[in-house]
Parts: sequence; C-alpha cells; structure tokens
Amino acid sequence: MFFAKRQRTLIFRVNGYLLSLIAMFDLLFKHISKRVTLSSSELEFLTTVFIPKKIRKKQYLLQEGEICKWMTFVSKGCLRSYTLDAEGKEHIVQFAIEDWWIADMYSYLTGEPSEYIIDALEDSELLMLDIKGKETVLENIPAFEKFLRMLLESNHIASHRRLHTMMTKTAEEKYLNFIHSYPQIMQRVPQHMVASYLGISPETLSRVRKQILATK
Amino acid sequence: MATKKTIAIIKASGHMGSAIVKILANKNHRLLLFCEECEKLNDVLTEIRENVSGSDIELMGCPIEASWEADIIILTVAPSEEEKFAELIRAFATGKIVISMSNLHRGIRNKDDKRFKPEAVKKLAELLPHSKIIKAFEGPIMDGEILDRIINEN
Repeated sequence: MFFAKRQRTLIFRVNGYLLSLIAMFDLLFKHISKRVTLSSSELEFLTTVFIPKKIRKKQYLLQEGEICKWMTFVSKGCLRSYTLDAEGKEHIVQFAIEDWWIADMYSYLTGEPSEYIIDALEDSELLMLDIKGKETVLENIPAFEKFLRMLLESNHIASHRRLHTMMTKTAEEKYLNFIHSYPQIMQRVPQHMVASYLGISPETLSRVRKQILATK
Repeated sequence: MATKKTIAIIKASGHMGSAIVKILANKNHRLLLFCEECEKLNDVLTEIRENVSGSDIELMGCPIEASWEADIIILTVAPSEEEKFAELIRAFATGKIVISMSNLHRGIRNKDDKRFKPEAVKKLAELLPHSKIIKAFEGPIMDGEILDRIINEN
C-alpha cells in the first residue's frame, strides 16, 4: 500500500516536471515562430537537441578564460554577463530575462576564451544549444539558419545602439532610455547593477532618479 | 577559474554511489545526491565535511530534479533498476553525459568479460537516445582517473 502511494506521488511529480519542460519549449517555439515558421516535426526535433538546464541564483554559466560552449535561451529567470576590470569592479554588458538569449557570441563562434562571466541573478530555467547541437539543427532544419541570422542581426543592432548610447548620451538620457527599453528588467535587478550596465556610478544613478521624480 | 560542473548521482546511498561521492567530493564539483535511504550516507557526508573544505553537496528528493540541474548524470543504480531510472530522467538528460555504473554491480572489468552484455548498453542508449552514454568499468574509474577525464572533457 505504501509503495503504491509512493509510486503515485512519483508519477504526479514526473508529470509536473514534464509540464514545466513543455512550457519551456513552448516559449522557445513561440520565440522562433516570431521570425520563421517551422513544421511540427522540426519543432519536435529541437526538443532532442536543446539541453534543459536549471541553474540557481549566483551560480555561474561561464567564467572568464573559458570557451563559451552554449547559446542559452532563458525560459525562466534572469542572468547577466559582465566583465571585471583590473580593480575587480564589475561592468555589466547584458541582462537576459525570459524569451531572451545570453552567450558570449564571440567566444562561441571563434572558440576563443571568453573575457566575460555569466551568472544567474535569479533561479533560472534554460534551454542550451551547444556548437554541435547548432550544427545538427542547421543540417536538419534549413529555416533555422534564417532564424539564427535574424537573431544575430538584432543582436548586432542592439549592440550598436548600446555603443552609441554609451558614447553620446548623458546619464539621464541613458537611464530614461533603459527604463523605456527594458521596463521588466528595471523591476528585477538591483539599482547598483543598473548603474553598472549604464556605465555610471550608483550615486549618479540615484541623483538622476531623484531629479526625474522631482520633475514629474 | 573553471565553472563548477554539477553532477547528479543517482542513487548515492548504495556502496557504489557512496564510493563515487567520496571520489568526487574534493574535486571542486557540485554534487546533487539522490538517495532513497539517505541515512546510509550520514557517515560518508560527515567524513567529507570534516576533511574537505568547501565541498558542495546537496541531497535531492527527486532524481528528475537532480538530473535537470546536472551537467553530468551518474547512474549508480542496480542493473535491474537502470531502465526505470533512465525512463524517469530521459527528457531532462538530453545533451548530457550519462555515466552508467551498472557493469560494476556485476563486477565486470572490461568488454572482454564473458558476462559483459552489449545489449544492456544498447538498451540504455535506446532509453536515453539524446544523451551521451558512457559505460563504466571497474578499476580506474574507482581511482577517479577515468571519471576525472570524462568530467573535465565534457
């Protein structure tokens, strides 16, 4: 009797986990279908290649000096990539929340060691595509090449915009641009990380925020 | 500094499981242990806590949860149970290394051993078609030598 109850609990649990996994892939499928249309067998093929991975808050996905082996799609949670200067100060390059990708694409594509660190700011659920997996997908799903090209294009545009903002805008403009572009991230990450991302000190960020509130 | 590998050990409370836990405890990995009789591991864990500083070991209540978080999964279950556990973790083992220790339960040392059953390897590969399966043999793996190589190369 005890054994039967235990088995039932296990089956219930297995179903729960499978539902979570289905939800993860659902988000990925929706994300891909915004750019290209894949057949149901092509979508099913993706489930055999993407690596499901759970990572907890503060755990690393990549450390400086390692080769970035994965393109990572975030199904749930929040991660960041950053670099450290000579004094050990963090400079945040990117945040990634649900429906976003995170990777050091330079390292991923060239196989050279990364200068970046990627870690989790929240417990996160990820779908990871390694280089071999990517090649397999490209061989089997021609439309994925188009998807990847479009993804890299939007990544390039975003990087270019960010560079332009960093070089030409005031602290206030950078902040307003950030809250306008990424309102969801604003609510999830601590202020000192937003400051690091914007390339300004936490004190400057605090001053800018007060000024903006005062003028409202 | 290399990113810590997360290794799930299913089931960690048997003789084989606890031996693997001991081998891996001081190698800077994160170990997730699934066990059904976790009290059997108490002595091993106490010994590790006393001797290994910064060991990162956690007991997990579910083999699926452990596999989902893991980069590498080590099945130290008895041969008769391997199928059941492989089916449970299948969807969460995609793209991951799965090391099967079931040969060791039979005391098989290498593929030339008459008791070695290639069909068992095939069966596991069928159950986990999208994982990279590695069958372990006794000896070097228990010294940690081969295990180290497998873990660090992947």
